[in-house]
Amino acid sequence: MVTEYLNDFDVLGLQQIKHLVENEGQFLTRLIDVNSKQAFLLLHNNRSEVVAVINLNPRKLETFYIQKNSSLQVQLERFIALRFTWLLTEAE
Amino acid sequence: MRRYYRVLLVWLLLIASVTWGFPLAWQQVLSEFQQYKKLTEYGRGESVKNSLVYQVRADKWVVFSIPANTEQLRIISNLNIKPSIIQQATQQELEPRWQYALHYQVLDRQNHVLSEQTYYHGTRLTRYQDEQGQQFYTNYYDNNNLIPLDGRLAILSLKSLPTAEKIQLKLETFESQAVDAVIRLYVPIKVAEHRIGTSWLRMNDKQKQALAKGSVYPAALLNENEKLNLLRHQWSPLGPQGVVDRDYQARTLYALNDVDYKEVGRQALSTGLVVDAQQPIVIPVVGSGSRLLLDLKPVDQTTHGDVVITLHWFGTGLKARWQKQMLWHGAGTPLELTVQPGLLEVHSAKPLLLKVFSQEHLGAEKIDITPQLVNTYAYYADSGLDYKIRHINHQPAMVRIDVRRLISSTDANLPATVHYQWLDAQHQILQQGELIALETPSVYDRVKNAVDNVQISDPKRYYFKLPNAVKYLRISALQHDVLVSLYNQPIGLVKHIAIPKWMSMANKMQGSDLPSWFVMKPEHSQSLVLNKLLKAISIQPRPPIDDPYLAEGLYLWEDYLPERRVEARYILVPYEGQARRKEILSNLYCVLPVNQSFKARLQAYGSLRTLNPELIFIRPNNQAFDFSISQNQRVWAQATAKGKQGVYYLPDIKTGVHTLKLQSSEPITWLINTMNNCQGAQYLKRRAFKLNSRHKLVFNVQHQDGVNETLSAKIFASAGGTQHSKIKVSIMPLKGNAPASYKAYSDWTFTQRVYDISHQQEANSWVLFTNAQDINAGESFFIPLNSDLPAGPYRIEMSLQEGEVGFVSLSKLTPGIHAQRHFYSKTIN
Repeated sequence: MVTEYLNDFDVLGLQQIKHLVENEGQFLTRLIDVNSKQAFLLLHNNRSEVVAVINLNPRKLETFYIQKNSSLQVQLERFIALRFTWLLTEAE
Repeated sequence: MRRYYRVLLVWLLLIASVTWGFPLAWQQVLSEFQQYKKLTEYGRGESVKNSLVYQVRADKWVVFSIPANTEQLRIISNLNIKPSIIQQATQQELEPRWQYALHYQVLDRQNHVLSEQTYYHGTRLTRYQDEQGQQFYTNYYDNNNLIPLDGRLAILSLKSLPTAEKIQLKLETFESQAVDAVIRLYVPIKVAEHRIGTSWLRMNDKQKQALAKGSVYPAALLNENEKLNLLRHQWSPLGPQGVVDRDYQARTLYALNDVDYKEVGRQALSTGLVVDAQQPIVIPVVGSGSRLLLDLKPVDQTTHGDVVITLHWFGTGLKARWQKQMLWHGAGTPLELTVQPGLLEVHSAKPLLLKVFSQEHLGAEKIDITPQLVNTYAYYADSGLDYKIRHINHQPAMVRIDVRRLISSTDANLPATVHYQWLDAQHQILQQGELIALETPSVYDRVKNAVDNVQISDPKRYYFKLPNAVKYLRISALQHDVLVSLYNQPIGLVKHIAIPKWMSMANKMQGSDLPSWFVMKPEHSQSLVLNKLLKAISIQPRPPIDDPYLAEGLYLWEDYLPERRVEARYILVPYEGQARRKEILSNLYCVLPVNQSFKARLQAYGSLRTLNPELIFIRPNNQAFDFSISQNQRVWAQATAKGKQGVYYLPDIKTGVHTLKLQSSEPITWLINTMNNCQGAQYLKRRAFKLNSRHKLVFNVQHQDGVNETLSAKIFASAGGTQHSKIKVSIMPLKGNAPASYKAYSDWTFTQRVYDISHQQEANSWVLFTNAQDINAGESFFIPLNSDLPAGPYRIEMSLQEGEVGFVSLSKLTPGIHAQRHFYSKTIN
């Protein structure tokens, strides 16, 4: 659904994603990185923790996994620079 | 002898063919060479760089082997066009970009496709002109006369494809003038770290200079780190697989460097917006008004002498308008003027470049407020457009279609129409019809990079409420000059409006306004872009169009009362209307001169012969004071009063002209109603209802069928209070929602609205029957009920979301001449 939205940017596609997320007890927020001017969607779980980040104008439909033993800031900067679509934490 | 005869015959034939054929062939070669020489002649000492390039065509892959562990590929490509195109093309036709794409596949050892993509490029032809006016280009070939356009670079990352062994490429282009393209591929040179230290020393000067070409400093001035970095980032060319002339074609591409001539078609235009007599520029003026500097420059050298600049200013309200003309005497002398908040429309008798600066006072810092024209995009409808329609919870999808027409001077006057079809999931037609574009060119909108003065019409807007069964919307047209843009909106969208209106316009220009319609892309939109079936249009805010009936005071006024009893106030609001409507005279109060006689024409509404005017006083203290008013030198009323405000109901008086004199022991403000020849300030008495965060205001209104109606609301807030209020307005049908209709609407109503109102801080109005409460002159906001809403009763709910508590009035003003019923009473003797 996200891939479809990133392809046609239909606002109703985004609203469908929002409904789906809210039905799961989760919610979305939008974030704009003022330095890179990139817009992101943050997916929060029902404890308001960020569980995924979606780049709204990615260069590649790929996923960047956060490594627990590396610097988070460096990894976030890398994710922004690479303009991947998804930012997820690595499965344990 | 016979044997010699045959040899002689062969020789004779050979000589004849050479004698006749060679001049023809030579002529052809000479002509081609001259043509080519004419187009590419340079020889002025520019440095030339040659590169081996490989042809790419649409019908054949060119395959390159990728060295192992290659992480990046650089692909530089040039599209080639025929020289005859250049000779036939006009200056303007050469300006647009040519578009093409490289379709590539990355393959592994077993020729499995690992990645398949299309890389889109837009290019142009850089041309220079020498002193003799002869044009030449930076790129050329030595062995054919094709014109290579400017090179374009693509960098591919292969990091995620470690098994990549090959890359194959094809050309994709829909440019009819394009013949083929050439490419060259480069891969990073891997220099072993232990060799980096010595590599620089082993290079000759030419190699060092070539490597340091991109650096600020020449090779001799580079430090060790800079040298190491340059050595780590070298690129080496890659050749294609196969045999030359069988599997691929190679050419040598020459490129001129350091050309010291003027570039054609890219003259350094001064920045600014082109303004002329037909196409004005609209400048939103925000804040508390500004001293503006209009910096004008000629577009070209042909503009001489003084130029008349016409300025129109539009503020809020019908009275806030002016128009004036100024003379521009030439570049370097900006026009100065002071403008209140609103919209300033600038016309120029001749084309000029306009830049606008705001400067508080002479010598203060100049702030560039030149408006940035907003771009919108429209697709050619004749290309056949399919839009996917999404529905949320099976609800109707709201779609807006803007239909525009490209207008050139040669156009026939045929109406431009767009055909639409509503399709279900199986592409069966559910509904179809036609939409018509406007015929006249827009004054405010322009085609971006217009060729041959092509203009564009204003958008004709249509709206659909598409039922859940509709899954696709198909758009087509027979004429080529019709453009469409489609928009949709999320379910339950709340429209945000900034008040005053010019703030909303400024927000829109600055991109800080929240959108209410969202662009829809048709299917295969990338292909449409590649085929140049998308047009960019620059748009501007439009000044309001004044209703002549309103300007003349010809309208029907209807006031609404809230559904339940709420706290209300009578407020005296400054009245600036020109027309004195006899209907409002009983609510229109005139400030009277004190201690001097004046002629008052008292007029009653209808056929009444007598009336009882109201006399209102407003003063800063509470103490008692005496007053008297005489009419035609006879005492009409006299009394002692106290308090900061009061209303005295005067005894009966006949309508007509009377000489009045008001005498007061204190110099205070006095007002009287029913007076038709007021010379002083005027105030209109309005009833307004309290709106706070605890209670909603609910009004019931009746909407007529097929008519656009506008409800006018006004909020009065305390002067000097918090500076804004956010009011949510909901429009709800009292009889339940009507099902979506299978038709195109020409108007749209946002039924959920939020008005973010910035309050004026000046105390301009008086609240009657209170202890002199300071209140402002009120801010108007409008609630449209358009023809898309079915006729019937509607409930208008207003709630204060945040900000200042205020008093709200709601009314409907219908411009035009309306039939009215008059009652006469006559005494029968």
